[in-house]
Amino acid sequence: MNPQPSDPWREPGPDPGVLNAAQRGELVALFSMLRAHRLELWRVCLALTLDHRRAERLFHETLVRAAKNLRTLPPGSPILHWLTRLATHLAVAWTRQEGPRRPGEPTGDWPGGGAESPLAGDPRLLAALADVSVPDRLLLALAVVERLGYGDVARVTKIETLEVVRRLTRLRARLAGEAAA
Amino acid sequence: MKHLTSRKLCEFLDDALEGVPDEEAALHLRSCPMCRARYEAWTSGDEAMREMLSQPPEEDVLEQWSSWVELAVTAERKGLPVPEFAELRLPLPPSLLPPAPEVPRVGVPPRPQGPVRFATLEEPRRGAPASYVGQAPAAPAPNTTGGIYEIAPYAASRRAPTELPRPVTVRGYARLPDSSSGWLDRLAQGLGPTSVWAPIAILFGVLVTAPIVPVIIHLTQGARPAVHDDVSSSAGAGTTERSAATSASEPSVASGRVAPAVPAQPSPPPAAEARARAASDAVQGESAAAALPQGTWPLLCGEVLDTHRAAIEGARITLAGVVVARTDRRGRFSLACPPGKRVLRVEAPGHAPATRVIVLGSKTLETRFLLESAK
Repeated sequence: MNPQPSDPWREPGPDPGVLNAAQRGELVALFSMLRAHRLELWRVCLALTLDHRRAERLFHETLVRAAKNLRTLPPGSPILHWLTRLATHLAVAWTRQEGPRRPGEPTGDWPGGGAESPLAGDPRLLAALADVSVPDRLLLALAVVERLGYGDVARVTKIETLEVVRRLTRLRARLAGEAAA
Repeated sequence: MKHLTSRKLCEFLDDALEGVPDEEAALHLRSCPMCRARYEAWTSGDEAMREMLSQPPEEDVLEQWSSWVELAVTAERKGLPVPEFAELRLPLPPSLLPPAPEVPRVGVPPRPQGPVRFATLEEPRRGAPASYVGQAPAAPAPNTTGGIYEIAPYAASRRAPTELPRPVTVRGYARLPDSSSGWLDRLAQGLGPTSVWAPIAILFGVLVTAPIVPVIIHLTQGARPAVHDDVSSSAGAGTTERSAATSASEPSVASGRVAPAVPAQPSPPPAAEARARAASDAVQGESAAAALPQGTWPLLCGEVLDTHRAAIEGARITLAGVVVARTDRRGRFSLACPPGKRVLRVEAPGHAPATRVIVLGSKTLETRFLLESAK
């Protein structure tokens, strides 16, 4: 489907030996598993937060949660998919805790969020993205930024493929309308 | 042909069009201004979104994650709360501080039961994370000798992930296995009967030690000599931990000096704990055995900034007059320390030093220092 699929997204699950070592608590094995996916995870965190500082916080917290809960990683499941779902759950929880906001608004703060550093870019597009829910932002990040096919997006998010297509269509129409307004 | 539906346009954009050939859709887009305008708007939106959400992180974000994870995992294993650097809590003013609780005695370093080694003094290597001054042994004990052992980095290390884990070498006491013997014993086994080499060894020893006998007599009759323990980075890489018994049995690092036996320690302590323990002893002025379990030590975390809120790297964190840590590139530091009232001092070149009295309880304490420029 896509001419340049992102390879880390299509990698199979981690090597069983490395996974077992990491689950036993060996930090070297854990780091070797997580290191290969840090850039993709960073982009996901950036899309989920639309803020550099918050993305940094989410990035670190996701990796810490992954290290703590490595035993819950489904066998054979790609670790990047699992990390992405972890980050999404965290972002959803923190966003609910904070309440609705737009980038730059001096409203509530994420747990340990600190100072804000909104993304550079078209402010209208940024405002439109801020109105999109966190799970929908993940769909956009996977389909548009990571250039994953609908089937891959469905596998990462565990959403039906048709639902992915429907949501992406609606999101693109909405963003184009808000950007043009 | 009819106009392309939003879904068909979305699928065409993602090269996932089904049911309608791509050529037919492309032909329609060329001939239909309305669909073409919609397609161009969506395409430009995708491009802008792709550019916006692909912004790289700051330089050290992708490099510091392993240190952060290591700190969190280690703290959890030791039953300590994971530090939250952003939840800064400023300390209470001195007038509101409660009376300092009695600080339990903490030994430096832990004393093995068996024979121990004591290392010679060496200059700390360049780039060493920290150094500390230990307490002199009260009296020599039999069956002790010097040694060097390596420990894994702990909270104070926030280095790049490619460098982790890097062992840290601590010169101090290390327990020898019960069955092991010193290098003199092994040398004796190799040389054969005692009657052959013993007179030569005695003569050599007398000649060598004769000039320093007056000095030893002076020291034993005068003030108790101070002994310095250094913490420095080790050149070895790839190993996370090395047992004290193993490294202590290496004859190349033995110095032959005699030191008292210290309580048993199953494995070498992490660097942060070693520094904190040194600081604790500096507070109390004694090297008694540890009365507080290491797992209950709270973490003392914080950051050092200048008046422009910029991080100060390499600031010296001094606890009770002992440098126990230095700040990293983000101006942050973290160390484990026994609970109690502590005097924390921060010094950085070009900035005025700052001193703060903190009271460490059972939980992690975080603090922030704002250093003014030196006048």
